[in-house]
Amino acid sequence: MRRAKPEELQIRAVPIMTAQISESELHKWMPVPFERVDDPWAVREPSQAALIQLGSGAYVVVWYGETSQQLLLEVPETGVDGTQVLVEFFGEVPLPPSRILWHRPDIALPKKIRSGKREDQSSETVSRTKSKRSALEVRGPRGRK
Amino acid sequence: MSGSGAIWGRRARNVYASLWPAVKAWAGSLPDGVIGYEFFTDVEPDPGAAPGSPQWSEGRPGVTVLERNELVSISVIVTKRHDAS
Repeated sequence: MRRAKPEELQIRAVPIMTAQISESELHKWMPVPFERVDDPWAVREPSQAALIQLGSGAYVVVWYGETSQQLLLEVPETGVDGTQVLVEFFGEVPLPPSRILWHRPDIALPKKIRSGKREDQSSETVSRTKSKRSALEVRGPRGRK
Repeated sequence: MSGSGAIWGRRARNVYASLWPAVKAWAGSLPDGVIGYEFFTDVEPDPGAAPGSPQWSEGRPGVTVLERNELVSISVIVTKRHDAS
């Protein structure tokens, strides 16, 4: 993978997956320079972000919240197969399936990740995490910043 | 405490070229001890956002464009605010 220049992506990107990882894991698993963004009008929290081109040539946008320690993965809105991009992403990034908080329902996780996630979901810790996240989903347009 | 107003959002620079300006927030209540503000809005967030991370982008109904491709806002009612001490 490599950090791509901002002008290389001229299509809007949309979220496909979130995960919980530490900052050291972010830099270990995605060893590219990240842009730090701390403008409160531009991000929810102080963040690190990068447009990354995977070895396959596919582009992903990675956002990492320094406070929440949440990774947000985005792919171009059109012209890409999100499922295939995830296969390529997990081919380069050893992110454990237990760290995945959400993925877009119309995009399948790679088979090896799906099987790992099923095993992980038997643990009590993951079940609690999922329940807590669901409670936040029902709040509709209400927000805080 | 409450008040009507607008919350602004702009695009992050140096990430990718087609990033649109958007107001971004967390869903849910503002926890004690966390700097920020809590608000209600009638403006529907963008579809397809990650759970718990609503955003309101340029071009969506109810999102006011203050500066095209740079700055947008939505109308809100602020219900709680925690300032830095």
